[in-house]
Amino acid sequence: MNLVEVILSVFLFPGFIFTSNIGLFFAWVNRKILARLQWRVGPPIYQPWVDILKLLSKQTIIPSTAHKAAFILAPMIGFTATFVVPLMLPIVYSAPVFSFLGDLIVLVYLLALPGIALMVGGSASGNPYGSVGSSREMMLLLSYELPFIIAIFTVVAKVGGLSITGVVEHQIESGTCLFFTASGFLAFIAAFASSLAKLSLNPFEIPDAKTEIVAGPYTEYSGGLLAIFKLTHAMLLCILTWTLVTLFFGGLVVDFTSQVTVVASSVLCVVKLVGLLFVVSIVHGINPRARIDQTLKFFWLYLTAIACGGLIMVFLGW
Amino acid sequence: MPETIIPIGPYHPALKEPEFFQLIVEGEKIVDVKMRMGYIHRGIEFLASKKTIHQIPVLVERICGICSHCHPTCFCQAVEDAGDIEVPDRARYIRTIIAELERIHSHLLWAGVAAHLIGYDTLFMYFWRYREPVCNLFELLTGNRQNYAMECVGGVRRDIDFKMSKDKILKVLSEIKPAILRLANSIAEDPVVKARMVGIGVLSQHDARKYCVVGPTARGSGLKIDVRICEPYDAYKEVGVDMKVFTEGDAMARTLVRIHEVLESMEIIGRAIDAIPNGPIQVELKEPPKGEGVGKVEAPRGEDIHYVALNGTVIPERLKVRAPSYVNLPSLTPQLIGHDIADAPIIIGAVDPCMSCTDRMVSIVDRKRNDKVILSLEELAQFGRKNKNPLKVRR
Repeated sequence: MNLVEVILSVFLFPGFIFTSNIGLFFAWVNRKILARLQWRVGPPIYQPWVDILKLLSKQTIIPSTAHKAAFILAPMIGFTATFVVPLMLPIVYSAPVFSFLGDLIVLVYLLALPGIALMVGGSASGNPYGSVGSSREMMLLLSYELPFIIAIFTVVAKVGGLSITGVVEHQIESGTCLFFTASGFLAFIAAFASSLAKLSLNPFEIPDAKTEIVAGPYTEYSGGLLAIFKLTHAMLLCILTWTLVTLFFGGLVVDFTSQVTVVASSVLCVVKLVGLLFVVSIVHGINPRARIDQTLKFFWLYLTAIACGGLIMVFLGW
Repeated sequence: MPETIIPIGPYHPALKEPEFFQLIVEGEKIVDVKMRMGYIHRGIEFLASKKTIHQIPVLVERICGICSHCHPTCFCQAVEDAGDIEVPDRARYIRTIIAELERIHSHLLWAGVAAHLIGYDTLFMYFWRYREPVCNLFELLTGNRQNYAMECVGGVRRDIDFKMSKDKILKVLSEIKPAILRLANSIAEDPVVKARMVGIGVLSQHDARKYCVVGPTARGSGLKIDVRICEPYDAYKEVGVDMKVFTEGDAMARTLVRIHEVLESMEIIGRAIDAIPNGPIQVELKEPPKGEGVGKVEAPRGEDIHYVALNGTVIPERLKVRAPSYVNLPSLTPQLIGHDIADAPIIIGAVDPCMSCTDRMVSIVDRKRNDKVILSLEELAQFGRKNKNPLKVRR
């Protein structure tokens, strides 16, 4: 792979341009589903793009109380980490751009970075809502990372390898998705709930709880920096769905044996992604916001137990 | 752990009206609360001393946008009390029906806001969806969705043709009733809603009595207080009211009180429409009444009291309004202390505070010296001029 290809894949496909647009489309689908659920009309399809463009055209104010470098760097770090992730996920017909031994571990780290960036940005802003928001983000990070990592371990133990491509290949070879095995199902539940927390969607919409702490870590952000955070969030919506589909639903694989199978498997890919997004939106819609201590208890007691149960079941051969 | 001040207000997404709660917190635990009022003081009582008793019902209707029937009813009751004016039966029944419809729309509005406060926006939208037909019903009956302008001293201003509108009212109510039962069930059964509301903001019966709380806040704490039953006015004696009392004293109990009251209001409206007599809707005022009068009304938020002093002219000497939130707000202190910041919005929201009803004065605080200041009219005028801050001159 030459340098041009690498640059193209980082910035064009499946990197920045592709993921951000798909992410904004997913953000629209999420908002539309939520709106229909709530008996509203919902936004037109171009709304997320317009929102980002509007924010980019606005003045970026850096508060005098803020730690300037951390305040500016935090959204950038989260953003960069997010658009590197799709390079490691196998997409449709090809092997991922970066595929190496242990990329699953790098994936876990990269997916944790946006949360850490948000935490840093919130506490750097020097705003009381921002500091409460980032302390909540920290608590949330501590609660969801453990079950998430155990869920990933379950997948690793089941598949017997640390590469993402290996997970997809294992699922194709064995002819069944990990979701339909007992251990995979338990791991999926843990990973799904952790993803909701990573996206700060209900019932874990805690760090930026509007009616409690205004916008939490985002409170002092404006203009371009806020646009970057919003874009990161939209891309995370896409990437986490994509990761879950890759790990538990056989990945986005197109079968090139004949024209019929190409169409059928492509449709199946879209159905997997949008179906999971649909479930995410519905869960977000039908739940109120839990409190941070309740969330901590929920993750550490129940979800960790479920995830551990999954891990044990792998060794029992289920 | 160091104490920090988390401001809720004066402008905050959790508060629908400007009011300032300073939460003094250690970590996320609230250790003390300071409240500051006066951000939307509008001088209604002063304005009332410039207007006639025929204009004041329209004025006091604007005290609160949500209980916009209770305040004029209460004022008219006070004047009728001062002048010993007997209100015709039909007018009393019409007042009752409008008041109960208002309770339905007010409680549904509150339930939606409460759902929003705990981050349950879907439930919020659903409650407001079912409030919408009630507002449309108001438009049908009175011509306005809010601020109905139905009241006048000695009766009501407009007759309602119940032969025509009875079916419509009952149809709307029977349509929203199963929906409300379903939503009430989803509140009482949902584990996350329970986790956010059960045991949150507990006001014990003793504290409730000590802070003299009224309305659903009192009834959620097991106090049997309801003006409609304790001192019946309008047609409540004939129609009958069943008081809904819960003893837990937490946010969930107050929610359940309100939802049961919505259902009870529907029953009351049904009975009132069946029993409404024919006859005149208002009595003519021969001469302006003289003396003092007190009106008491059970507003959706609790007991509303108007005191009026009349001197025989059409312009009253004094009108004193005591809105229910005025007594409910101080009870927030024992409710908030010991809870998380995350619980503060729903605790504040659960007493259904109506800030603009409550504000009676503006106080100027000198932030540098941290004390209250009284300014004369000239000094106040100096604020408008350049470089003339009277506080600086005094310092």
